[in-house]
Amino acid sequence: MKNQNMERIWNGIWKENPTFVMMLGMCPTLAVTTSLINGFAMGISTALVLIFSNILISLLRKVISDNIRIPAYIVIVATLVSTVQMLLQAYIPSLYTALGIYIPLIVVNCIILGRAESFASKNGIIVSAFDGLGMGIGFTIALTLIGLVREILGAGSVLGTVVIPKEYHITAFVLAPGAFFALAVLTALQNKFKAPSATNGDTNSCGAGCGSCGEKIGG
Amino acid sequence: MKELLLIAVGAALVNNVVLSQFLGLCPFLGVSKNVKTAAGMGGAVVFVITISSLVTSIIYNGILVSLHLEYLQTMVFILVIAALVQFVELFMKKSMPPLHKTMGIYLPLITTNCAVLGAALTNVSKNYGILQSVVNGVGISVGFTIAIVMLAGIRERIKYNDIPDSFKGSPIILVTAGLMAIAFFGFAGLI
Amino acid sequence: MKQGRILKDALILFTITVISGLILGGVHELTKDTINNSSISAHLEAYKTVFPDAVDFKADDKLTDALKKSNEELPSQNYGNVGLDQALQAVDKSGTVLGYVITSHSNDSYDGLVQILVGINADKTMKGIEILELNDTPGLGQRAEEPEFKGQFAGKSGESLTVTKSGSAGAEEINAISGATITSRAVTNAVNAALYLMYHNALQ
Repeated sequence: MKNQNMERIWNGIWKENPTFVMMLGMCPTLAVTTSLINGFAMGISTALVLIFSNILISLLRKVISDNIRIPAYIVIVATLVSTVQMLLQAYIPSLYTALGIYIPLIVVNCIILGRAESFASKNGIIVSAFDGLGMGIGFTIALTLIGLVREILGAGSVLGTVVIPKEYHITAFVLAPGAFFALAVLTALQNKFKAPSATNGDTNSCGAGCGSCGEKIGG
Repeated sequence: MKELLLIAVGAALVNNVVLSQFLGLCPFLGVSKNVKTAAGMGGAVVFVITISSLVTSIIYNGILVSLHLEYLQTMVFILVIAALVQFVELFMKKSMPPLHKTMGIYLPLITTNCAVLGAALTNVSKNYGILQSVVNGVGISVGFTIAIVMLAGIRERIKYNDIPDSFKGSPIILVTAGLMAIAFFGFAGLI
Repeated sequence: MKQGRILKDALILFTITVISGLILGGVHELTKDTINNSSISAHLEAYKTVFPDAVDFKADDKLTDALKKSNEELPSQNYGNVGLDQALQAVDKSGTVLGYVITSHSNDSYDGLVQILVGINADKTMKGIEILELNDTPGLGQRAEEPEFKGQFAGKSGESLTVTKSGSAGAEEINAISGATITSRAVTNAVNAALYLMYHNALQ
């Protein structure tokens, strides 16, 4: 039993890392990773929602029938997201303003509905919680890393402390284009080393991943 | 009038929803293989965002604000959007079959398109009234369409180019999107 | 049979929604005061930074009326989408009015809203500004929070200020943050809104 839980965590961090391997939840990944702390905060917020939504959905999996699955999930996720939003606004207002509308947008993050559909709705509470934890940690690590890279290259700083003199800053990296370039190089590296990634090969699975997620929602 | 024009141009070009706000990235990367489907997706997004901007802003300004229930906005918006998409699909199927044929397959994908919820939330965070919200919604969705059709056009050409192996697939698309984002910076001088 | 299932489904969905609504209401009640307090204390701290020599900040009816009037007139000025949120008198120990602390905002910043605090002396010269809310790109627009930009406002006088990209600002000019002209302009126009209140409606 214990092994299974550890396996779920490892799965989320490495084997099915939501960002690097599954390419899910790209919007917040690119939008808020302008600095390490923002990426980290977004990751933690998403992880919290993910853990609790997995627990609740697993808990209610016998009550919620197939027909009302999607609206029920949406209501549960939206409640959790609004709760996180209010808590952040109350206790960490600076992060609340930094993350802006991307906090409520956690609701439409493919990772959360995706895990609810593919894992929590079919598995027990504890293992679902660990699945959420693993995925959440994986997402947080990915966002923190991308944030770190962009902060160093773009603003020449780590956690706000300047480490590179101003003349060598590549400002574009904290702006929109830099987000695209950073992710492009990252996926190119994955292709190069044949790392297991949804981006390997011809099929663009970001579209497929979100597409199937969207199709399920429509259906 | 001038103000409305500024909102529309600002939303469509200057703060392009995909290239500078990163909303709706999944369809942007996923449904941009050729110009025709990209345009279809764009059309469906324009349709849904315009209607949902109108409905969500009426609900927000008319009901939530007067009942002091602003904190329910996320939940209400996402439910309204999900219901709206289903409703639009049913309505189209019944009374506009040709339109449903071209746009129908994209509609279910739109609920999870964060640009739709993003548009509704931006309208609230910028304190837009109902008319301004609709104009902003149209601007945002037209901006999405411009971006996705352009990317599709470029991707149709990229197919025939000699690209380094490791950049084949999504890396080159991301690089293209990055270059487009730089180009869109040029619009910043507009307003 | 089928109808019974639909009814049951609807009932479950309804229950989930009601419980969610109740939970959200509860969280809202619990966090409401903290949210208000944290914004009030954050503001008070900011008031002190723009007006260190004042000991208290008071509301004044005349000032509030002037603020309302200015908000009606501002759209016809050339400052874009700006507005005034609050105006307080900054008073010293003996109760003498040293100047004013005005909260104003502009919706034209790079990412929408920028809210600032403007300190204006009784003689209408600028005491300084403080950024309350700005949601911009780190390293670019966010640099409006650095003294290099916001420090320029202290000591300026004149009815309205303009942004220049030349790098050498004149008496009624402000140097733009390089690469973030939109943000610079939005902040300056929010300052102009506060100046408008002073020059046209409050201090006649």
